[in-house]
Amino acid sequence: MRYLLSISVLFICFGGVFGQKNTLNDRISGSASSMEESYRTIYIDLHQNPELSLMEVKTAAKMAGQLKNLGFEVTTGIGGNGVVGIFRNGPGKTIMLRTDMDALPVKENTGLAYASNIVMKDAKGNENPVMHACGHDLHMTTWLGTLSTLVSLKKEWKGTLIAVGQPAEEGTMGAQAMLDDGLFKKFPKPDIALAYHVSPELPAGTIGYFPGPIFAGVQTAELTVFGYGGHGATSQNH
Amino acid sequence: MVDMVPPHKTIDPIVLSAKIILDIQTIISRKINPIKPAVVTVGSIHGGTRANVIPDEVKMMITIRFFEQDVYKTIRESLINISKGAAVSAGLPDEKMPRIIFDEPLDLPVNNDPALVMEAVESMKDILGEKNIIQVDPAMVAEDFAKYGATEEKIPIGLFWLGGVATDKYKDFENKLITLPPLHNSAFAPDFGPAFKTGVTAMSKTIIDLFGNKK
Ligand SMILES: [Zn+2]
Repeated sequence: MRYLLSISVLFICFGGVFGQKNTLNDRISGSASSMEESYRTIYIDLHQNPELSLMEVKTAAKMAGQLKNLGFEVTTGIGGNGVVGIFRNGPGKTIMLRTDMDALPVKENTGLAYASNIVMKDAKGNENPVMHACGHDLHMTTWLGTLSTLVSLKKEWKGTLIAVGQPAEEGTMGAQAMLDDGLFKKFPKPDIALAYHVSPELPAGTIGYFPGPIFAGVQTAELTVFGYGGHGATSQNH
Repeated sequence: MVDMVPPHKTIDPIVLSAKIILDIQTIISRKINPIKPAVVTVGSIHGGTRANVIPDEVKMMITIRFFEQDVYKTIRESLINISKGAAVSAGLPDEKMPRIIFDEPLDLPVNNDPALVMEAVESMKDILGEKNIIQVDPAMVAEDFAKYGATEEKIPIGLFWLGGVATDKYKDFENKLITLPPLHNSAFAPDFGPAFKTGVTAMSKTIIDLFGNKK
């Protein structure tokens, strides 16, 4: 009898703990699943309307509009076309989630019904086909979906959420431009910054991680070697 | 007249460049700890205009890829020393020493904070299952997300790969029936539905847990 009672007490305790935990996980997963179709519309629109680095004007405006709808305080024009959204939800940590927004001068060849037909003039005035060939459209959509989930589950956490929509990732200029424009000074300084990059190698449904330097440092150098020039065939011609 | 200089009086920058390029190959093989990945590539070389004229200069473009600062320093110093050493032994005077210009600022490695990553991984595994959260090797690509973790504020950063390959394509790839288009390729097409759901689920869970509201 005593034995049975202990088991039932244990059962209630663990049941309670697991129940609560599953509830939060279930609500997160449920939120992500229920959003899929409406966010597919956002994704397709972004995919069909890519913009080159430093020219992400319409994309940035879309991100700013979405953030406002979610209840973020929004500032645009940080480091060029950068967008910063702040969602204050009581005392706590400040966590930054970043997406990039720019596309590439690539002619899309995916055969998708929603493939991009966009052509844009680059900084030199040359016409270029433009494509989200680096998946920044997926980054933006996932970023918005995450922010929306966090807003709808705001009773589950306390703190400040900073949403960063970064321009010009290609050519690696945008992050520096946003920092130079006071990203960490004009806005609450984040305690943590997080981001995704879509993988062209891992199956959908998985996440890849590395606890250390995950992407490389890259530098280009120009080496000029001098000599004493001359006519290489002179001796034969003598 | 330069075109009257006989070959034995010239110092041929093409021959000198060939020697420098070969020496550059030993930076990775002999100067860098083999467990530390790095790349030095001479991606372009231009010099001369005709078969029978020794030019005055040769230009090369070199790409360096690395994950750790000390590896970068070794590569940078080696490039300077190798090119200068070759020029000195060829008998070139001081004013003809090779000129090397490093593109600044460089693209920093994305230096994920290990503790932050492992905390996030725990959250992600809790909601998506152990087998779906995969440790990968570092990749030789650049991402300027690195910059947010490299300021004086020293903010811990965490960048994660979000799997994008459709399940059926991934099976074909595993069976060696197809290759997968890389990033920046005109055929790159991630599978929106499952990638979106996975990304939103994992990141929302991670952020709620990081805010310290674990239950
Ligand atoms: Zn990218």
